[in-house]
Amino acid sequence: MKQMITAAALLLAVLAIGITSCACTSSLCREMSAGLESARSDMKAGDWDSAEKGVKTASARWESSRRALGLITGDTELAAMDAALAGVESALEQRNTDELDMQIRLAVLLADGLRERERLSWHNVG
Amino acid sequence: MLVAVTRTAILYIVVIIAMRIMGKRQIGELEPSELVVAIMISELAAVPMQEPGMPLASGLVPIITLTALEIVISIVLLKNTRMRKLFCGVPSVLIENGRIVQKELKKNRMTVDELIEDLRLQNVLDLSTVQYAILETNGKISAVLYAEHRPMPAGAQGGVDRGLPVILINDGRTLSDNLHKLGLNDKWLDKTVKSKGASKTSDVFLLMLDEQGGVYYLPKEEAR
Repeated sequence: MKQMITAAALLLAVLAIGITSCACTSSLCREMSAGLESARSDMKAGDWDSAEKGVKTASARWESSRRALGLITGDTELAAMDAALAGVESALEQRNTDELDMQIRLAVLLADGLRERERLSWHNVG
Repeated sequence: MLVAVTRTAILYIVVIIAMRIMGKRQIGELEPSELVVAIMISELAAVPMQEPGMPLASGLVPIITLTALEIVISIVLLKNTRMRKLFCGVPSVLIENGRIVQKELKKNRMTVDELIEDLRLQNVLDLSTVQYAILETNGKISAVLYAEHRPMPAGAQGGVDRGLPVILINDGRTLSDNLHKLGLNDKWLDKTVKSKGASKTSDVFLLMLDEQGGVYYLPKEEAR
């Protein structure tokens, strides 16, 4: 009986960890993607201030979650996102429309990839 | 490098804890499923040790999951003989009453040389002295010699060859196949169980019958 309880507790613990990490990563990536896409729209409309605000919000969100994300995500993926966001900020400073557009697309792609990787799907399991 | 040392220490402790939680059976004789789990846990622990870029959770979560699943499976196997047969298989009798059962050797993809080698490792050099040789589910061969060739315990005057005992009741469940193989029926079993003091077969933990008709009986602890 004691062993069954131990086993059940361990299984519940790993399930809880899995579900929580999936939910948190999904939420983070969705917010970042939305913020960056919004910044891209603002940039295309010529509103650089709003675009800058959007990018800063997305970057701040990333920074606040990065440490926790490091527990479940590899260094390579984290470094890639860091580089992508740095690229976005650099393009924003230069007010380079094409470059900013490309960097935001890249950052959104990486964020979506991160979220997709944590999802329980046939593709990931298989 | 300090990171590698710390991660290795953490994973090592977690693996030891996992092995302890799974119980002594993991460390002793391994059934196939237990061997698989032991190998998988060691592989899972090794990968994050070698790759500092990989999160520790990538190793810890699968190890904890395997540990929990192994405990659940072993509890299920304890209660369910059908599942136990499926997961662990059944012992194979390779030598029966002195004759090599060639069909069983073939079924287990075992050669006579391997059989003789295993027996030799148990100091059995002469096949003709072997009454039974059983390939257990953990891959080991148990050899039962004819009575006249068995080592006599100190102080023994001489024994009767009781042959290989057959299990008729296992944890409350009647093994009908074994019962019928001995030419017995449920009526005989009920009578025997009642003569031993149990009211029904489900109250019996273990009942074995040897070739001399000797009965080994053990009631369930909660039925006493």
